[in-house]
Amino acid sequence: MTIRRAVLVCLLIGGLLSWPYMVGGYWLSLLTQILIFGIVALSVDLLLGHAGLFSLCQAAFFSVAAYAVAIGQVKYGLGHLQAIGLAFFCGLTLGAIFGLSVRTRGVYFILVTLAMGYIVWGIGYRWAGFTGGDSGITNIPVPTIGAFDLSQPKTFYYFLLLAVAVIVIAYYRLVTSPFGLVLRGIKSSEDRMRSLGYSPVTHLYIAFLISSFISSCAGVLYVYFNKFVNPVSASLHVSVEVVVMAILGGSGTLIGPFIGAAAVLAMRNWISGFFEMHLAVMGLAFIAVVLWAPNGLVGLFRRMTNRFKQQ
Amino acid sequence: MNQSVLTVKNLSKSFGGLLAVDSVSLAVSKGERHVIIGPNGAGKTSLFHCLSGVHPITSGAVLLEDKEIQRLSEGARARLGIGRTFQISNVFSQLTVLENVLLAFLGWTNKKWIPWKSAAAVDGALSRCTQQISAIGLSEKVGETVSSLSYGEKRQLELGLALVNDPKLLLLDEPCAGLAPSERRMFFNLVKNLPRDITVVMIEHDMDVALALADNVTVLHRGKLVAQGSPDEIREDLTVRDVYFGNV
Amino acid sequence: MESFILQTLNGISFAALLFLLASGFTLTFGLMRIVNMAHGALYMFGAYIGLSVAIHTSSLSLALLSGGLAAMVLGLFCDKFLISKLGEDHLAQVLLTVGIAYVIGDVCLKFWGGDAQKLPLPMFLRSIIELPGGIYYPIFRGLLVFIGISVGVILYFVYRKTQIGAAIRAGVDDREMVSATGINVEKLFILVSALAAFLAGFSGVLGAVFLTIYPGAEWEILVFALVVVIVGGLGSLEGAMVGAVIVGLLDAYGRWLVPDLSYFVLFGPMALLLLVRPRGLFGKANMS
Repeated sequence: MTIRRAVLVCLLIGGLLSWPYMVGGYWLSLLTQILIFGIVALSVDLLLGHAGLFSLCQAAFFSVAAYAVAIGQVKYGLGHLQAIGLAFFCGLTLGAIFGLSVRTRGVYFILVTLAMGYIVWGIGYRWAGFTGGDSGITNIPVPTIGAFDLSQPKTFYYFLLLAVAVIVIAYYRLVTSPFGLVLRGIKSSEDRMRSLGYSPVTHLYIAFLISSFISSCAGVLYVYFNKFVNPVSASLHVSVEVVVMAILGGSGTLIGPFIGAAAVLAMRNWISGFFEMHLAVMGLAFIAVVLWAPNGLVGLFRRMTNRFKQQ
Repeated sequence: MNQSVLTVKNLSKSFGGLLAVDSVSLAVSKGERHVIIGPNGAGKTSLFHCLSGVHPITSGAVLLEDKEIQRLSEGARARLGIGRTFQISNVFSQLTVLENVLLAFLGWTNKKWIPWKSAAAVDGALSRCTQQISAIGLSEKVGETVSSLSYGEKRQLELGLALVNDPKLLLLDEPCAGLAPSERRMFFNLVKNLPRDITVVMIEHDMDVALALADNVTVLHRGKLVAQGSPDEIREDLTVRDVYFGNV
Repeated sequence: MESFILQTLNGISFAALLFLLASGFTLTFGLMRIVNMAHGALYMFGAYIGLSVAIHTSSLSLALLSGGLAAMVLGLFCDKFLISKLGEDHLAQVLLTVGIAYVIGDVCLKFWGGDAQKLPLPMFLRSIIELPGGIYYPIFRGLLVFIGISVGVILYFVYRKTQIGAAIRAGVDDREMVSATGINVEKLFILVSALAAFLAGFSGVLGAVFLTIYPGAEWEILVFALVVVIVGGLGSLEGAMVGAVIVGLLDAYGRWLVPDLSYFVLFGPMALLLLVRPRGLFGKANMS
């Protein structure tokens, strides 16, 4: 690691740690959301940047985990640990079922995951008796760990930072491991992998499960932050947004998904402040990114710095 | 008499109405260099695809030593000891040379499931892979991304991928295809100097190269086996001449 | 028993609508390898244009024509200036067309508002007819089935029995070969693209009659069309027909028997298919 990088990382960590004491409630909330959705974007990128699979159903696991906590605690009076356990169980079970989609590739995979994700949204929306329908579920109790009350924004933020650190470190070890290399091999040439002794589908299925697990983590964090969940959390819109976050930040990198999350959420918050047609603006932004910055912000940054270096 | 490493019994493969391979049989002993020749469209690559598992066969049997493998998946067959190269270069372009060879190395082990610790840190991986990379002459390019390699270097890499696990059987599909004459000579030597405990079956278009390398030759024409024997026998065989000079 | 027949009729009429929408999507992909997530938005745009025309002229045929043409123009515009820049990168296509769909969706919201609206029918189409067995059914739904079957027959005939259809089928199978044979591939693409967009808008107008049109409809109907195409197989016209019938019937029976969980019913055949035949009933193995 170069000196410059080490300095940047230190600045980043310092900034993250001192953030709640530097800014007010709005910015703290924004960064909290960025970190939570960054985790979902990370789960997307495990499949996209490393395995070459474009999944449009990540919001489904996120949402199901959130709902599991919500329904478990509010409707069935479960304790926090039980509810969290239920959330992971549900998220992983859904991942195991949706993971069947890895039997398809390319366009089929995109369409299948889109349809599956949408169906989860539809069930959340229609099964009003169980999920609260459009209104969702409110007043979700938030845990207290020892002396730390997670319903306090600052306390929650530090807990979240810890969770993000753990997830990112585990993710890093995963993608640099043989398993991660195999995924990249599959992305590069699946045929070749088969002739080298691999069964790509098994690896992809496990990657899909891991991705659903990561997304479920974000769902649990989300529901405790928001204290509220509704079907929008499972919508196609969220699934698309997290993909854009992964790509915009720079697919295949560790920090890319979080940069992408920052860009998308900051932009959305800023735009909806003064523009009522914010979805249209988001749409235009997607179009712009696809046409002019297909390698994301990290790629754009690299291109600019290369040009600067050559002068 | 050596036990056959590869036995093919009446293998046929049809695609819809087209019979690409028509009841071909052959047996290759351990250490043998067996070359398959024939004009374009003779079914040579289709035969290879049937041997390595890319295509399921329509009828017949394929045995690796004494084990029937025609119903196994491509991956399972590879893990039994088959290394293969393809006619059109098929390597991992976005990865580095080292990563390519590491993947080939890990493919036959259970280490491919390890979700922590760097891939290069796996026991014995780095040493075996760097050794293989230097054996095929790509030591200076270890950290390079494969997309920046020349076509000839990619072919070398492809051979390395097939060799890194010391396969029992090596299937080479026109290893020199698309190479400049100097590169062809280098490849010829690479193949010639392969250790004799590896059995090599090779598809080759160039008659001279084929007859110079081979212990035995199989000639295919329109999916059928037309002649089989030593290089000298094939040189004298009139049917083979007709096949190549168009009287059939 | 009566309910069953009624639901079957509902399913078939919905299937007709789905076929009209899905056929365009599947042929666009089959020939041009383009995934167009804005297909639902074209449906919606056509629906709203048709709605306005129907309100002002009381003519269903004018509404259908204008809805179809409006969607066709918009679709061709997006193709020429945006989608064509992308080549075959499916990821980019999806993101771009989703972006386009967001823009269309928001514009429609601005101009037509957020309430669900129903396209008014001319008087003679509002009646109910009595079918054998004492079942009463809206005549419009019957018309919908008739239109669906007619378009299906025409498309099938053109696809299977004419030279243009042969060129399209050849293109679906092997695009490079088609351009090598001297057929004007550019024109073929524009033709199929225009047809797909027209059918999308056209089906939007029909949908606005019995499903109503509202913000979000573009995604709801797109998902149904996607399931049709996944089940039937990408690139296959026959697949779109069979898939539409399966999805239409399952949706109708699902809503009737288990209304809260009707989406599960949708998911069932898809999951089964993924296990048994990932490329769909009529799909080709090399379509990616």
